[in-house]
Amino acid sequence: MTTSPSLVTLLFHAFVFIAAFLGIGSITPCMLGEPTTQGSNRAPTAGANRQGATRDVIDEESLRALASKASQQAATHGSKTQPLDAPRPSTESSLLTSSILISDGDKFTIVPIGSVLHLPTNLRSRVIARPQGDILMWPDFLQKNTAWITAKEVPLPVSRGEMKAPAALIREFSNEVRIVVAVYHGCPITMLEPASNNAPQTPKAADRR
Amino acid sequence: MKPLQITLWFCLLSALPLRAAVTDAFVRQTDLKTGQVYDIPYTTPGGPYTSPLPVSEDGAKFELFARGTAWDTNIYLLDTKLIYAYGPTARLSITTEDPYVFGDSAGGTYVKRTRSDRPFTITTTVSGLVSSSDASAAEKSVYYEVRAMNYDPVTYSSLNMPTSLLHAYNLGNGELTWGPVYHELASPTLMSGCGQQTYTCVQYAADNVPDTILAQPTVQIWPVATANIDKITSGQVFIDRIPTITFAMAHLYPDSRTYAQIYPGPAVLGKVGTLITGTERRYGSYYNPNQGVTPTNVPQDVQIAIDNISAYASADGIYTLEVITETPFFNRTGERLLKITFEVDRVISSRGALSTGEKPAQ
Repeated sequence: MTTSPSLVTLLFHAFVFIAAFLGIGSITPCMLGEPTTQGSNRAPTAGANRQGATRDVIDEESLRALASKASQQAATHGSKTQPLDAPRPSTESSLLTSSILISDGDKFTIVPIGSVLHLPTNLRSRVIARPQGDILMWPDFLQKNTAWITAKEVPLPVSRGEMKAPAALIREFSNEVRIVVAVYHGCPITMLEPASNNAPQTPKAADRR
Repeated sequence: MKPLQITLWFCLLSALPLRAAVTDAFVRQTDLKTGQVYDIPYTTPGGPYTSPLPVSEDGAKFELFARGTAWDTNIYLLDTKLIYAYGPTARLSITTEDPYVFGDSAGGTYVKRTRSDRPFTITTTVSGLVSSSDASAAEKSVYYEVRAMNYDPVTYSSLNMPTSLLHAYNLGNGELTWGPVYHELASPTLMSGCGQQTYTCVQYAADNVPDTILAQPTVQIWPVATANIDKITSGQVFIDRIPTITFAMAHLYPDSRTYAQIYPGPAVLGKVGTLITGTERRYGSYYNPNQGVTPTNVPQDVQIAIDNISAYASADGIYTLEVITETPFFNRTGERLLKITFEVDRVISSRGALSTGEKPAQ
């Protein structure tokens, strides 16, 4: 029987043909296990699309000289500014200090401080101090966690403390076993205390710090 | 109180590429008098935004926040707009040689990038301030500061890295151009600078308006790439097969093409040699036009073993091995990271096998 060598030969020739068609001239160790997502290893053609180097990369000494010269010039700009005569303002975003973070253990969401109307004792651990995991924006987070969090639409005058909350509204969430977040047109909103005279209003919700 | 319906223009088009279907951003509206906060999920990539909440005569602050893309789960303040009777405006423009921008450069908060050996320019433009002597600090000037943050030099990550204050000034009305300047990161060498410098303009708190960030762009600074080759040094003479060598290339710019080439003769700048198969690396959409998505936004480190250098140096003689990188800098022309000139002299090898390894006297 001499049939099997011909099959092997055919397969080998097929591989060689496919490899040649794809431009695989040789397989070297460096071509194995190379990154495919971060970098691409194009089949290079000698000299193609290359013009050689036009310069050597700069050395540290030359760079320091350039930077020193530029620094001296930049220093003159300070004279065109005004003196700092007030305490430096905060340059950090107030996002975390004006928000309540609610976590489902995997992802968290952000709602305005004062927007949590009802926070059952057994769900207090859902309110976290710092971001943990990835953020999920409010509508997606609500949809994912309807078992333990819900939204309650509130009239704008009520949210602004310009009108007392209807008794029905209060009754509705007082027996709620889920976290209740106040929303206006579906978006979380701070609930303010009714203003007395000209006193500043404050958040009145269950998350008040 | 006469409520106003406000339409603002926030642009997320470049900030959130290919993530339009996911709610990754929200606008936070803060009433300046009461402090009432209203969060509106923002799903449309760019275009006008109409607040469903009326704005009182006391004004409101609108902030656009967005999650980073892909693995970046940080939340970024992309833009701030104050709807207020009085208010200065500030624009900070960063000019680098790399066209990359993350976010909306027309807005106040975006990220640009450059390389640690390249200069860049910052232009501050402030208007809307008053100069009368009885004006408050908030009316006469805005606060401007520059902060630096070093990234982790191994992972290139900014996670939990502290910042340091470089400069702080008050600015009046007008335009100032700062630069060209080089980075001021606290790095072992200027060339190894790896981090970011953030430029912030803040309106001082006054009349119920808290300290408000008017603009906060950032420039990322990536180290200059380096290249090393082991088991081969300049001037070395090979009398036998050249062993497997390893190219160690570090900090390859996220928008770059890097490769090794070899040619006969001593080193000549600008000479085009034979590209050594398997050494070419391309990063970024410019060098990968068919990929669709930019595959990386941080530098890359690679090690490449090549076992057939002798195939490129078959005849006896002098050869030069070079590593060249192309980046947005210098109009994408090549910069030579490394050059090694060596000699192949196999005749000595065969003679040495017969008698001694010494060259015959001239």
